[in-house]
Amino acid sequence: MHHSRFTFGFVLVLLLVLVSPARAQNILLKTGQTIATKGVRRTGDMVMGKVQVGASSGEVGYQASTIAKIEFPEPPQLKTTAALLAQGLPNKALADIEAVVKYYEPFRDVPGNWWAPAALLKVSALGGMQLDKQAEMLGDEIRKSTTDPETARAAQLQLVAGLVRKENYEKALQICDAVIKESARQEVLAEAWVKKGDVFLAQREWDSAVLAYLHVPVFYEDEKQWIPPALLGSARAFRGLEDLERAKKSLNDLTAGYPKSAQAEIARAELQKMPK
Amino acid sequence: MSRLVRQAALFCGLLFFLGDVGSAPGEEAPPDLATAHAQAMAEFQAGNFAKAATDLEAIVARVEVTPQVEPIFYTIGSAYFNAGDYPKAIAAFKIYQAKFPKGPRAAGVAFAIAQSNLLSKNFKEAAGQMAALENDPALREQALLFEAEAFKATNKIDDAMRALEKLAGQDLQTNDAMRGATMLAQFYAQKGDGAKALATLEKIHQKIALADNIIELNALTVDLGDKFYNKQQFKEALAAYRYAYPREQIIQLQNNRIARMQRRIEENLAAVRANPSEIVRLAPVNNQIKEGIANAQKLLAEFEKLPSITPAIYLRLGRCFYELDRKWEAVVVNQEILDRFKEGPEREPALFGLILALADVNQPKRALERCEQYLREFKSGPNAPTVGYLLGAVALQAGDPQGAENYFNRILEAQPKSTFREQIRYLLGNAKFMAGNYPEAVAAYKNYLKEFPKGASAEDVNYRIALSALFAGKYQDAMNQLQDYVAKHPSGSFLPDAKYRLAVCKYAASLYDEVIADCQAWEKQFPGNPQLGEVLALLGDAYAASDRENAAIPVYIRSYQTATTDEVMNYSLFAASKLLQKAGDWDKVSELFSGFVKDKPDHPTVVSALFWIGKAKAHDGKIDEAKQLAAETIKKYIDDPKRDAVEQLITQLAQFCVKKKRPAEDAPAAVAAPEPDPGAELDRLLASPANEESGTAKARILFAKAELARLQRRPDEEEKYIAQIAADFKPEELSPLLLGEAGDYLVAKGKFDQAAGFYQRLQDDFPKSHMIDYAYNGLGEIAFQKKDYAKALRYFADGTEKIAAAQKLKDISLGQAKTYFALGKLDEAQKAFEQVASVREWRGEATAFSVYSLGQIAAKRGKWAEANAYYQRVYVGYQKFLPWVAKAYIASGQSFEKLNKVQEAANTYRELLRNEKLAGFSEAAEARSRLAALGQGS
Repeated sequence: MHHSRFTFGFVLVLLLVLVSPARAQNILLKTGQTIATKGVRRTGDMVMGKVQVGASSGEVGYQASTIAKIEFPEPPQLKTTAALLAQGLPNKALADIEAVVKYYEPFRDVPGNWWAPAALLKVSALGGMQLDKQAEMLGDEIRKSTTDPETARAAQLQLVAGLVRKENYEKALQICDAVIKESARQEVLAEAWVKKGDVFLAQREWDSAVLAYLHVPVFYEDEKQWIPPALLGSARAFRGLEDLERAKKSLNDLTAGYPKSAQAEIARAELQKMPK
Repeated sequence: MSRLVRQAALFCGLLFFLGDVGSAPGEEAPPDLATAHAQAMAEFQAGNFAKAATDLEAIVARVEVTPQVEPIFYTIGSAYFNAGDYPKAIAAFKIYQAKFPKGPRAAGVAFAIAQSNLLSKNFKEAAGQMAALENDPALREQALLFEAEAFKATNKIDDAMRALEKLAGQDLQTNDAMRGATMLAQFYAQKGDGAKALATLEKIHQKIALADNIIELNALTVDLGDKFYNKQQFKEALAAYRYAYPREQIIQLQNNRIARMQRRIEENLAAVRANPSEIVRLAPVNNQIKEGIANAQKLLAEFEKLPSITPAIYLRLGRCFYELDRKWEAVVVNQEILDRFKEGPEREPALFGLILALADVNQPKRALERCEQYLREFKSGPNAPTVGYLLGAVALQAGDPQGAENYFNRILEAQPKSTFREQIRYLLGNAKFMAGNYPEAVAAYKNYLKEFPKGASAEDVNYRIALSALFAGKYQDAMNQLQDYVAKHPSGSFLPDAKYRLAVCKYAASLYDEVIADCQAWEKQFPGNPQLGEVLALLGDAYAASDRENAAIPVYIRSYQTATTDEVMNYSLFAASKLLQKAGDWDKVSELFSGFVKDKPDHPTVVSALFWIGKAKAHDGKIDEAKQLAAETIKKYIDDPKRDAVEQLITQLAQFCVKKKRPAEDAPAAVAAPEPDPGAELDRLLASPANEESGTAKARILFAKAELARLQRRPDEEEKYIAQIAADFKPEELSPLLLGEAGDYLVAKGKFDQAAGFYQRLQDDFPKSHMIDYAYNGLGEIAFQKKDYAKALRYFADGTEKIAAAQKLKDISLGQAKTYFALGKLDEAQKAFEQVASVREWRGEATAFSVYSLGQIAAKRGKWAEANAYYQRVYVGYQKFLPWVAKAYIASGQSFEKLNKVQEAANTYRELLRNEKLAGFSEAAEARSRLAALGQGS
């Protein structure tokens, strides 16, 4: 028992009314001043904020370099696109996120913008549509422009598929290993292990591929988006190792656990072809 | 500051309204009530609770009992409670209840009495009193929690669980509900109800922010896992361990919690700024939060000083995976511990666990490396003897008897008292036995018997000594030893094998009658023994070897029927067939294979059997029947790409179709029926509505046409059909042979990427196919053409070493040789080309290429005369292969030039130009140009 001191009565729980994220796009200047706006747009070096004064409204311009941050609300598409990707619907995901990427494009240099995470989702969508070249180019752009190291790492991983295609396995592994060493974000780590598995699979190094893919269900089981590719990859690697039972198990786990994923469809086809 | 102190402070103002009942005359006047109360409350706030209680009791003795003094009665009870004097607290609270039965703190008082009983270990009373408070919404949660604790203390676990299920059965919303859920999960685990324990644990982790002490919760989670593990509920244990947070996450969660508390302080301060009157209420709240922050920070600081909990959690995960037969996952986890945690007590068990798991998933190379690592890092570790033993055992598993022998010898020396010494001695003999080093195996086995004459493997060792003599070809010794074994072990586990081997020795000594008698006796002695198929095969061999072929055939047939391995089955089946063919009894051949098809309709050999049936029928002149049978069989399996003998049947059918019928001897030439068009006949025979939908079937029909064209010597047409297969069908529609053929066609056309798709499919989906050579050769050739020589060499080397290529061995050998040459590895290239050139069966273009390349190697070394000799061998000995002849002439001329033999060089160029067959080659122009350069142009 831990009652060293009597705490009688009960605590009044203060129900604080949480303020929902502002729909307005406040401009926080480096001077500390905050300008409440009803919307912003970019024109050259200036960020124009729509402000309301009394009954009338107008635009006020600020040099981008004087802005500490713009408080953009988080675009809901970040979640909806991720969900579409997890369902294996890259085409729909691309359509969903495209407008967000476009909107934030002019604000890429202003802190608070959502371009990089949105663009990263676009990269995943392009990758899912096998448009690897475009995915790589955008990934490269994100890497160069983002200040968030985790986003940069996630962007770096987009290069792996192209390197595998060019059979530059050494470089591809270097990228995966660097991300695995440096990242602290679970979803980035999960993706890095999947990509590492892909590199080994392409080299037909089955045992190394199995070990890489299995990192995902073992250590990152909450990163649902990466479980289906990890299971499919591990099934193929087990097949390479001629462990057909384990290959079937991975494919069955995939079809049962993630029936709507794009990989599940492939898994079902591969199961059909497995020796009975 | 406790809530009690806060509330006591609030009571101060009320006392100004109290009337003093006065002091007795003659007594020293006590301080006025307000002062006395203030002093008592000061004692309370200073933590002098006992003094505060007696002072307040003195005050209440002086005042009339009115609602205004109600708080003082309450505070007296609280003061005794805080002083730890629970009997007095109970008494004081009961006074309160008597005087203010409906007082504003009546419920709190009832709760306080219950809690005092709990703390006084009056559990029965406490439980009953807490149960009575369950219906008070304000006290319900705490009452249920304490009720459960009271029941727990009296070991009434079921009652405790009922209370906790009321508290934490729904969504967790409060800290008390979280505490209740944590306790409940432990009870479930204790009761072995894994599903409920895990469901509760899941609820807890969904609301982890409610946990007061994440570190403690984590420890409880691990403990829960341990409980499951100890009960061998590995699945549940794994799930529990997965809920445990690694160190970094705990630190992050605790920091988040501290940050949340800090935010609450800031929010309270903001509320006070907006409404200063709130300070009276919120200041104590903030003080309490600050206390919480200090506690949380202290816990965190202590936690951060401790070694990381992560490897301990991972170790447990690894063990669960291992026990659940998810050995690959166990490898992943243990490897992660070793990679991420360079120090700590978990390294040793993790490394050991990794070795075991690697050995289990058949990764001997990795296991060996880890064994070596273990013995380096933990020479005297608790598992060192086991690892020493495993080192050799794993090498044996990897098929490296020499390595195993070295390891075993090393461990016998390094760990002379190893608990595994007996097994090591035994396996050391086995390693030599496996390596075919029989004399040394015998010596090693004798060492075993010397050291462990009554060891667990003594009988096995004795038997293996006898086998060593047999396998070393010392049949007489073997016979003596086997007879000795049989005599010594009349019920030995190797008795059937020993008697069979004795018969084998006699067969080697050509004592066929004895073999026959022994085999017959064996069958009587060991009816139903799984080795019967082998014994009957030997019996058949003995009959056949002693010219009793008629007796041999039925025995072989029985042998294949009883065989337990495909090897024995195929041997006996085809041995019988061979004897029947020798006797010209094609009817019986047909009958034999028909019987096989009937016996084993699903066996992969069925298609081959049907091939032989067809052949037998054709041999007997029953061509139409043979065609029909072949066609029916093909149609049955034509849409299954895995039946790779279908192509063999297609070739057979094509052969039947091109075969001209022998006219009947008595038929006049004029009335002989016209021969049907083979193509039309093939189409008719293979036509089937079922085949119209299947890509595999369509591709095979094209292959049948290609085969027909090949047999009719129409190469253009043959190529046209193969091209059609390569262009119109997806790799997944094709059988192994067709994948190989399509790939080869595409490589020849320079369509490497498309070809790679076919070869990859072959490699991935048919790794055991006889046609797998195509993939290794094709992929190697593609890599070679793309100048990725390292990759090319890998494919070619795997082709010779890993898959033991047969179909494409010549091409793969050539590929390896030319890749060595391209890499500048001249010694290796020379050896490889010499090998190709020396194989009589490969004589032809491969030889011309190899001899020319040997010239190239000599030229690279500046040995021009030697090079020239090779080139001359090509244009003299292999004239049929014009491209190589042309190249060889030019290279020979250049060699003469290097040797300053200008005239000989010119003669060589002229010889090339005189050969009309070489006129169209680019080398002809080159020869002219060289002649001009030498001043000998026309």
